[in-house]
Amino acid sequence: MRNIFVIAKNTLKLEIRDKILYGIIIFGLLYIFFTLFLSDLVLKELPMVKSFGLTGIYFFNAIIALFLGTTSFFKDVDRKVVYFILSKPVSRAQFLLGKFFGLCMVLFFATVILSVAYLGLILYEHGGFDALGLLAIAMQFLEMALFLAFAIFVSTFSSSLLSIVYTSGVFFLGHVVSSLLSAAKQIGLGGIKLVLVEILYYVFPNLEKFDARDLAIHAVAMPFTEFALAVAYAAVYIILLLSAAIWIFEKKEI
Amino acid sequence: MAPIRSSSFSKSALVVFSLLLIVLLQYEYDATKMTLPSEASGSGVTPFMVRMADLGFSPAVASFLWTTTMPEILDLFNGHAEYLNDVAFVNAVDPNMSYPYAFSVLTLPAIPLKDFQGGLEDALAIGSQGLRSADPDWRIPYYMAMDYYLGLNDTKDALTYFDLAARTPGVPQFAERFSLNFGIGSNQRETTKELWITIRDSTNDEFTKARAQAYIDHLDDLDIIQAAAAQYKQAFGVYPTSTDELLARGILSAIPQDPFGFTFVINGDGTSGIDLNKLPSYILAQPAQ
Repeated sequence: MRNIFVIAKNTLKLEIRDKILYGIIIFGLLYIFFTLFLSDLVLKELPMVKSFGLTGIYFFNAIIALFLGTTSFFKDVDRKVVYFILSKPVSRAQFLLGKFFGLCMVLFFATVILSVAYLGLILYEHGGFDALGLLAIAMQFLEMALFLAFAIFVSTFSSSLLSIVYTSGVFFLGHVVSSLLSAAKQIGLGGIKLVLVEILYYVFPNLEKFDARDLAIHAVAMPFTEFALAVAYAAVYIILLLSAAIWIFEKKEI
Repeated sequence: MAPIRSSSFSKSALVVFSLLLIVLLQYEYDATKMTLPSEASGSGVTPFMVRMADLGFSPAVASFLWTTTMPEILDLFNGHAEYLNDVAFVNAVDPNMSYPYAFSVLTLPAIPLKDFQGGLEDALAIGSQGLRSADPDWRIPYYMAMDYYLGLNDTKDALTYFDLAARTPGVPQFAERFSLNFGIGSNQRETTKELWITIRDSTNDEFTKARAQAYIDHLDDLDIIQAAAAQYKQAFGVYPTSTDELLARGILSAIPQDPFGFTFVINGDGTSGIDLNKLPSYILAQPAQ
């Protein structure tokens, strides 16, 4: 456990110095600042301002998660850090888990900065303290953690470029599977085709369930069970992906 | 941590177990929802595709689209009706966003008939759709009431929609006060009362019945005060300056309790009204704007 914590801490230290990360965060902050002007365009309609702000946080967090998840592992391999660490009494599982938690901490750091800017924006637009917005951001963070786990998983068996392709694909499909199933049922798809869509729907990471933005924007009620199931879903999926990543990484010759 | 030291069998078992758990959680998650995400009826394929591909950004996409759709209202003055298609598109992408509905209900009837025909009908149709789909927003029924009253001279529907606006959460003080007192002027009061009586007697809905009765009582109370003021003048030669004088001189034994909590006043010409400086606490609790 201590090894995992040390690796996580070092990952945080290493990544937090990355200028690209700061670049993305600065762009995120600029976007939230730009939302002030967008809010004038929509005559300061608070739901619209919130939708712009929360989308910005989500979008830039997704870029950060994609960037971190698909580069961090390869950076360690390129810089031979991985050989150095694994020559110590550290297992490969501890290394990967440390990487995952470290990257989550970096993502958390970025999320906090963007969230403070968002809360300031809503306060400035006379929306008060947006507690539901924070809840939506927390759910977004959970989605990004799953996204990171997937990126680490693919990093263990593919190249950096392919990792980006796979992870982006999962990000897109993860949001489309619900609509796909809905569309399949609407057009009356049946038989094996529907079964295939259903398999895709149930097995593929279904990221729509982490979208609690409607809760903050439209005050659409989200039952506690829904939250709990989404958290459990993320936890199980992350455990599965990390276990698979560890299994592959252990078999891999480096 | 444990899986890495376990045997190959237990690793496979973990994978199978996790997948089964994921399927189960997805199934349970769906069971907690009323329905699966589905397209609003009547919308075309294009909004559906936007929603399918927008990665869950529907509110933001609709808001961005709205920034380009809103100025198109000006094109209606030149007879170009793209605005109507585009606002329908925005509403299909995010049916909950209330502002496009409210904006349409307010502005469409203002387009002169020589430039664009049917603005009022379109406004009311969009408003009705907004009431069904959008977040509760007092502006939709409030503007619809204005459209009915000013555009169609339909006081009955105007009363109904003003009442709906007064009951919508977040309604500002001025709109709630105005809505509850629409048609209370001494020259309109009888008509307003008759319309509320019609609404009360023609509905089976108990809530609407009770609501209509409250308005009737409100108007009756105003009539009682006004009649008492006239009686006071007959007796003392001048109108009373406050309702307290009616009590002091024994014209009334008690001031009627308004169902909406307003305080009654007597105007200089002897007509009754409500005190704008002493609004009920539930109205003062609402936002000022």
